[in-house]
Amino acid sequence: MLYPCEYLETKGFNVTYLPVDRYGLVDPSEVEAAIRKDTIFISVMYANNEIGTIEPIPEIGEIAKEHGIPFHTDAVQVIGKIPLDMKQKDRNVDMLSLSSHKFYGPKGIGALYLRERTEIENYMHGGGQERKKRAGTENVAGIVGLGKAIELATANLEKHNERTKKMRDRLLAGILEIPDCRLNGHPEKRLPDNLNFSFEYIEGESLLLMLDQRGICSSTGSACSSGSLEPSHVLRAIGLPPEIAQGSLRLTLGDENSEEDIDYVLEVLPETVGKLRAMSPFYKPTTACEK
Amino acid sequence: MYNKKVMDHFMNPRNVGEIEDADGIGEAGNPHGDHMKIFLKIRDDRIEDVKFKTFGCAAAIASSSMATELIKGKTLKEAWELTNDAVAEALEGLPPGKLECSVVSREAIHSAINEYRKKQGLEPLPEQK
Repeated sequence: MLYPCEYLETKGFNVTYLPVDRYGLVDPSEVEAAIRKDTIFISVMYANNEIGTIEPIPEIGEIAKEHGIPFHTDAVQVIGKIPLDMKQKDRNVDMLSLSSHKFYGPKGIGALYLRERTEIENYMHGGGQERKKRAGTENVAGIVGLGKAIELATANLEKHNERTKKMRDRLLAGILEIPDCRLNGHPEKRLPDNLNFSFEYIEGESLLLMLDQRGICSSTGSACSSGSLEPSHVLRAIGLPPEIAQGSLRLTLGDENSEEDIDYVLEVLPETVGKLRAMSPFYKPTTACEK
Repeated sequence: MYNKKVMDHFMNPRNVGEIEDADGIGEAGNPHGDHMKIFLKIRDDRIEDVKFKTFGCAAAIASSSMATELIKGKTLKEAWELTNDAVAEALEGLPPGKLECSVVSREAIHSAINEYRKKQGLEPLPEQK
């Protein structure tokens, strides 16, 4: 949402950006305090893609409803991971974005959920498709694929999550044995498949590449891999100093991961961190591990 | 993203470590956060041994490794004249935007040579441009 908001600012809209706490949580009371007489829209991400923190969407939805302000959430990370209920807990969400490839559906298709009577400007002007909201012949294969994928992803969600969480928690416990590392994001209020760590004294791109060479796919919020001087805005927003944010690593689990994969990562990752630290001019060994 | 040569120097960097009784120690960093520390053992104006430690991305680590290989056995004058381009060329090229990460090597070498010169009672050499 950051870029659309920045675009709107160039068109004369005023945007209030709210801070998050050290876990990445938005405080609902701060949302309420930020509402102005002329507020027309509130948007809060359902769960963060980098650090996995799940935001208090039902609470914020309640506030939006009380003030009669349309409420949008980016739920791209959430489908097939945590249950949504648009009639109960998520009943005050008016608009919700989702993306098919995030739940094993085809790439290149997503959806914007609009609650009844939520009016939006046409997304594309021209043809009469989708009640004139989005011109252009529908991507039928994509739409059907998305529908099937969401069906599969949300069936047995609990059982599925139990398996992922079990592996995730073993991975978490094993990685926290590495000295001078910290878990980013909320310890409990987080996506079942997400882990994000900062390892002190080393740089994320190096870590990512060394893991890649050993067959482990990960991602990093390091500046040097993104080509900018600033590390990820998410890691900065939770108050990580740049040198710590530089050494961050995101690991996510999927359906195809197994307990053997966890064993393998727990063998390779400490070794790799150790190797990079051994060549880091900043490294001073300690044993403290911030949890 | 990186070529084979860069990946080789990144995965198996040469000359990593410290020299306890180094004759010249230098350090340099850039705004990306890359940081290099270099240790020189100097005899008869020649770099007899060199070790480094680098915090940074693969380009920074590979450049550090290659730069130390290039100055080993060279005279201080030759080492001082080592350019970023020469390091990048020896690595058979760095991706766009990653050249900056190799600059720390040259700066760290200069800082070590000048630290050595200072200890010898010599004027530090001026940086060009």
